This record gives sequence, C-alpha cells and structure tokens, in this order.
Amino acid sequence: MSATKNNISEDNQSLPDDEKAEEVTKAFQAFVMEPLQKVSLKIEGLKAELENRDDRINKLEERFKELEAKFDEICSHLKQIESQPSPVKADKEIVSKEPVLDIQGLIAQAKAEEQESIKDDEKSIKLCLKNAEFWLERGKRLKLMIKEAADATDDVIANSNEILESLSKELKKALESSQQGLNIIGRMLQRLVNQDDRLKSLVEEIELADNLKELEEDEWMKLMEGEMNENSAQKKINKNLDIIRRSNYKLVSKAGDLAEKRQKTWLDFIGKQVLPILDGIIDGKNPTSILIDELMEQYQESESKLSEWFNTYFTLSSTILTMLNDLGVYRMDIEPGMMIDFERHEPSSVEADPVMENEQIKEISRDGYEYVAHNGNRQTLRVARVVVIKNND
Amino acid sequence: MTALVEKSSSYVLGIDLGTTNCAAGIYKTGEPEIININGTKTMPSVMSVLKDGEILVGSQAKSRNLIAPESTVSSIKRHMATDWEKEFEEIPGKVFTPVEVSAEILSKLIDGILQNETVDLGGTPKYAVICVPANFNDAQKKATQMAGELANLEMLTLLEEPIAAAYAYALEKERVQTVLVYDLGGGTFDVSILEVDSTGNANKQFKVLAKEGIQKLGGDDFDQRIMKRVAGEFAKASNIDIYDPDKDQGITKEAREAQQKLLEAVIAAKHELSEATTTSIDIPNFIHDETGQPHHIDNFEITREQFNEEIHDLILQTKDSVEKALSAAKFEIEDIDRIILVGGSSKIPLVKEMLHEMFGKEPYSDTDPDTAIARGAAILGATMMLPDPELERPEEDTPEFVIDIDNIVTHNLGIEVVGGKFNCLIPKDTEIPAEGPVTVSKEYTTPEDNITELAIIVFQSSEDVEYVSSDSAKCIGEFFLKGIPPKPRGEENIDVEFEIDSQNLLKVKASSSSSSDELEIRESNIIDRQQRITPDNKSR
Repeated sequence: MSATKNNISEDNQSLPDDEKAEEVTKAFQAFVMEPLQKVSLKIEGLKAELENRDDRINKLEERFKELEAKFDEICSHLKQIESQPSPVKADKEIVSKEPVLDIQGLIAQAKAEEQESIKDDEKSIKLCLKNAEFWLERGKRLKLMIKEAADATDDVIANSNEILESLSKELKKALESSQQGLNIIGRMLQRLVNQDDRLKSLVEEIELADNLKELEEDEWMKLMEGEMNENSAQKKINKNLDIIRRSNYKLVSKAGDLAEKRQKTWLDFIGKQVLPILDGIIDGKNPTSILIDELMEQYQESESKLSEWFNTYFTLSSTILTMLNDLGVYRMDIEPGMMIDFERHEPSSVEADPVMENEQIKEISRDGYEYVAHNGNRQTLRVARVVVIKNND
Repeated sequence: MTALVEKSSSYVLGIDLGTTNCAAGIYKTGEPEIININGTKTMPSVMSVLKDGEILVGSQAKSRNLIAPESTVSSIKRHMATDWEKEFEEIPGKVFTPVEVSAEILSKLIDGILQNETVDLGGTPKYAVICVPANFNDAQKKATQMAGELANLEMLTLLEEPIAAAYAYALEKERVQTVLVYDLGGGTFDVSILEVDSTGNANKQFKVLAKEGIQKLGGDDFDQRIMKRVAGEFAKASNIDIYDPDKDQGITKEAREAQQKLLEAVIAAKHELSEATTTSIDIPNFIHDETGQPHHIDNFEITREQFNEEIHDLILQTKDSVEKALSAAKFEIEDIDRIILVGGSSKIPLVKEMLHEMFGKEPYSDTDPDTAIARGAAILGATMMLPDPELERPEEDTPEFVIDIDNIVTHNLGIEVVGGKFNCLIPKDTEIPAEGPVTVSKEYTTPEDNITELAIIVFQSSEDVEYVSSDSAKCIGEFFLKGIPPKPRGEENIDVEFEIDSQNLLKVKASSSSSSDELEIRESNIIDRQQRITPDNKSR
C-alpha cells in the first residue's frame, strides 16, 4: 500500500505545471463541485416535495369540508324522515325484503353430497367384504384340508406302529421313543380336528347387520322445518352430513376389521397350530436318521423295514408341506453361509467359527415360512430361527 | 434458491410408548383408529445398532437381542431419567441416553406410520400426545417429552396411561361413572380410579381420584411360572433340566432352543386357557439327550385351576394395589361403577374372577386392551388446538368436545431439611384442577450464621416418610440458591415454592431477600447421592 502511494507521489512530481493545474481543476470538479450540485438538486427536490405536500394538505382540507357538508345534509334528511308520521309504502317494502331461503336447493345439494359419500363407503365396504369372503373361503379350505391331512397321517402313523411291532425287541426298544414322537404328532393333528373350536374360528360367518345410513328427502325437509336463515340451515345440513358420514364410516371400519380378523385368524392358525406339528416332524427326522443308519448297519436283516418305518417322517412332512403349498404357504429358502436378514431370520443362538464371517448363518434350527398371495406378494408367516456366527474380535 | 418444506400432518398422533411394545393412533371420522406398523397393531420397543452403524427398531431389532445383545437395547422405558447411557461399538464417540434411544424408537414408529398406505395423514406427523405410566416421576415425564421432541414431534401434552384408557372407554358412548382402570401389561401393573362424565356435548369431564401400581409385575412373570412348572415335570421324567446347562451335560444350545420352544408353547397354552378350562402342551422331539434319544413333552395337561394356582400370589399383589387405591380415594367397593381392563395380561380369567369376586360385577372388556391407551391419547390429541393455525383437518376428524381433566399429585413432594428429614410441600393425592397448577410455598430459615449459599434438594416419595434416606424417597433434582445476604442463623427467610401442573410436572422456586432461583425437574438434574455435598458441609 505504502509502496503504491510513494509511486503515485513520485509520478506527480514529474508532470509539467499546466498539466498539474488541469489535474487539480479536474479533481476539484469531481470531489467538490459535482457532490455540491447533487446536494443542491436534492434540496430543490425536497422543496418541491414540501410544496406538493402543502398542496395535498390543502386539498384534503377542502375534501374534509365537502364531507362535513354532506354529513350535515344527511343528518337533516334523517331528521326529516324521523319526523314523518308513517313510513311511505315504498320504504316499507325495501326494509322487509329479505332473500328467500332455497330449502329445496340446499336439500338437493345435501343429498348429492350424502350420495357421493355413500358411494365411496359402499365401494370401500364392497372391497373389504370381498377380502373377508376370500379369507372365509381360505378358512373353509384349510379346515377341509386339515381333516384330510389328519386322516392320511392317522393311517401312516398306524402303519409305522405296525412296523415297529414287527421289529425285534432290541430295535423296538431303540425306536420306541421316536415312535412316541410320531404318535404325539398324529394326536396333535387329530386334536386340531376334534377340538372344533380351533377350526371354527376360521369359518365363522359374521354378518354386517346395519345398512349404510342415509336420510330421505322428507327427513331432510323435516330437519329443515322452521329454518329461515341460510347460514343456520347450512350449518344444520353440515352437522347431519357429518353424523351420516361418521355412522357409515363405522360400518366401513367394521367391514375392514372383519377382513383383517379373518386373515389374522387364518395366518395365526397356520403359524401357531400347524407349523409346530411340522416342526415336531422335522425335529424328529434329522436326529433319527443318524440312529437309523447305525441300526441298519447293525441289523441288516431289518433294513427294508427300518427304511419303511423311517419313511414315515418323509410321508408326514410331505403331506403337511403339500397341504401348506396348496394354501400358498412355503418354506423359506435359507442355506447355511447366508448373511442373517433380520426381517426373515431370528437368531436362536450364537457360535464362534473363525472360518466364517460374523452374522453369517451357521445352521437353521427352525424353518421359516412365508405366505405368498395370488399377486405374488410375500408375507413372512414365521421367521426362521438360525444359529449365527459371532467371533470374538 | 429456497428449499422445499415438508408438509406437516394436521392429525395428532396418540402414542403408547410401552416398555415392551408401542402403538399409535389418530382420531378419524368420529373415533380413534390404530395405525398398523408393518401389518401389526404394535411394534416392539427395541433398538439395535448394526455393524455399519445403521439403527434397527422393532421386531428386527428384537431378533438381534441374542446375536448382538451388546448392540441391542430393550425395555428402555425402565431407564428413563436415570444415568443409564450406552456407547455402541458400531457408532464410536456417540453416547446414547434413554432419551435418545426412545427418540429412535419414536422416529421409526413414525416411519412405520408413513409406510402404511391405508391411512392418509396428509403430511408428516408433527404433533403428538405421548402416554406415560401414572407412577412416572417428573424427571421421567420430562425425559419422555424430550424424546418426543428429538424425534421431531411437537408434544401437545403428556398423558397418563390409565387416564388415556379411561378416555377410550368413556367416549365410546355417554357415561357418568366412577371407573377403576386395571392395567396389567407384560412387565408392569397400574391401577387408577377416575370419575368420568362424557354426557356433555361440549365438555367431557374426568377426575383422577387415586393411583397405585407395581413397577415389576406382568405377563412375563406368569409365563416364567408355567415354564418352570412344565420344565420341572419334564426334568423329573427325562433327567434333563433345560434351565441348568451344567446338569444337562453340555447341551446348552439345545437347552436354549428347548426353552424357546417351551416359551412359545406356554404362551399358546396361556391364551387357550383364557377360553378353555383345560389345555395340553405337546412338544414332540423337545430335546435329544447325548445318546441321540428324543425326549418329548407328551400331553402335559394344564387346567385353568393349576394355572391359577401358579399365578395366584401375583394376582393377589395386584388386588392389594386395588385396595390401596380404593382407600386412597376413600371409596368402598360399591362406589365403583365399572372396572376397565387394560393390557394384554388382563385377559387372564383369574384377573376377571378376582375382580368379579371383589366388586361383585363383571369387569368391562369390550375395549381392546392392547390398544386402549393409544386410542385414548388419539382422542385427546384431536380435541387440542394445533399451534399451527394453517393446518386444517376435515371437520369429521375433529371432535366437537373438549376434555377437562382434574388430576391428582402422584407422589409426596418436598425438600430435604436439617437432619436429613423429608419436609413435604405437596402431599400425594392433592387435587390439581383442570384450570391451573397447584402452587404451595413454605418459609424456611438459614441454619447457620452468614450463609450465602443453600442447596435445595427436591425429593419425591410414594409413601409417607420421615427421612430422605427411606427406600421410597427418591431425589428428583437439586439446585443452589446463591447470593443470600450473610446474616446470623435463622434471621434470613428462604421461601420455597412448588408448582405442579395437571401433567404432574413440577417447578421449584427458592428465594431469599436478595436472590432467587428456580428449577424445572429435568433429566439432567438427576444426580447421584454420592456426588452431592456431604451433610457436614451442607448448608441446612
């Protein structure tokens, strides 16, 4: 900064006198004269504005005087009217003339709004009832299929008991506990059928007794009786439309709840009553297969009988799985090594395994199932229980 | 360039932020409606942090409890307004408080609500009424409020859970009754007595007369009792104790899986016993021993009578609380017109039998006990004026009435004075009228010469106590009144004023002739007794 200043100062010293004078004049013009001119122009402007303002005040005063005169004139006219003994006919007509309330028009408008809302509600109820009907049909089908599966498994389990009886004492003893498991499975299925309450809820018919509320035209007319004022009539109409909407919405909710309840009952029945039976079969099948292999090796003469007996597990699981698949319920496709997905898997325990990554699935301790709707939408019916890797870092 | 502003919903969410599960509802077309979260009416109140720092809430988080217990938090409601905090390995440097965990749960609850396509809220939820247990202290309430604010919710008010249930009941139709709300959930029990009058078109009147509760009693205890019984019988028959890994020769994983199987079967049996008088538990291939032999739970019959025997003493504890509440309200059995059941465990027949025997009338169970609280909160929310006047709801989604509530003070409230004594300013059960807070002030004097500073230590107690060291007395806040003019002992007056509003939120003011200070009981004021000044140097 100081260097630039010094430079400027040095340059000026080298200019001739006349040029210097010109420079000074220019600077004087720029820094003194021009701002001075601007200030005087501003003062002129302000003066003019003040004059204008005076003008405007004068004009306002004149207007005020005019209005005062007008006010006096009106007052004297009013006094004249008051002093008249009776109002003229024409005046009376003007005073009593009020807009005629179009009750019919208002009711027509209310009916239109009411019908529009009823149409929407009917549409929603129809949709919910269709859904409820769908789940009722599913319930009936499930009930029928459970009965068929129970009968089929009864035969299969009876057959397994017969095979067991035909085996040697040692083999019988070795498989006794596994057979007890199979018998429990058969009893669980039969109980589903015999204790009708469990299946009854699936096919329970629930009627929606009430119809959608609406007011007939004469009812609207009755409501409007004595109404003279448009605002109050409109308020009354709105209030009644509101009552109708609320009452009808209750029916829409009821229909929605019905569909939801049937769907929940159906899915709960599968999840809480049927799947534990399938779990029991699978929990028995896997460890028994090791035992059967050992027994087959040890008692080769009974190999085919043992194989036939062990086949009971496959027949039972396949009967129930086929039934479930027919109803749209599928076992989740999970393999060890997959990373856990908390939307579909639930850890039952954790294990360390240095060759595997944390949160990888080591084994499946209980299968997961999902319901696949006709439109392909998948819904987790029951999460799979898995053993998950957790290495201490 | 101006950024777009998210449109706020004009609906007020009614939220039941439960210990185990939470639920939310709104008021629509004249009645409260629960909003399903991922297809269910309730969402587990559990939070878990994934490896990459992502936060899971709800059933997915609950699933992670076993695999990553150190990264998963459940039942955070029990820690509200305590010094609990947690730093997750996955989010280093960030310490979570109960308020923050609750805020995460609330945020995810809102996300779930927004994903529900069947409910049109017309924007992002902004306003809420959150429910809290009746026995929550002021600090716990403040902490809940802060959690709501942190989840970007503007709290119109907090509402006590039994009162919310009473709203849901009383507004089903016009009623003038004295009701007893019996709320037995998964982990806690509350009982409240209220007068309700919902006959007025413009005003619905509620008055709380008494509140009692047991902090740790609920359906989980019942399940455990039955599990122990079944497992005990199973152990006798098989010699395998699924509760003792040492005894069952190292089949810990199997034992744990067996416990899970049994828990599910016991819960199913418990539900069945609500309808039937007998049920049986069958678990084929329950567990395999070391030789590979399967052991089953084979037709283990449980009658309702046996189930009742198992849980009888626990139900009797709730009966004691009901009696305490009646005596606090100075009521006789016949003064109660209706008993309202709330909470999933209230469906147990023994509960109904006990109450029927006690009151000579059947308890009311038409209201869905799992969602009554959220529905009551939704009703109150809809009656409240929105701070943003530009937000408008359809007329039919706004009730034409307002709700007036006269509450009572939940605890004895006071300060510590010389000798570690509890000096009560506002006794428990003091009425708080709807129109304004209750204010009580007391005059104290300086205990020593030339004191310029005094610690005002605020305590609450559910029982009448003499000393602050008593079990039921809890310190809920502390502040120093400074600038006291130095005078000889007893010559300077110290005024202490307590102000409590209908939400049971407390404000404490203290003043001397030349200074004053005040305290709102907030979470940050909760202090450990050890950290406070010792009695020797404390100015009392």
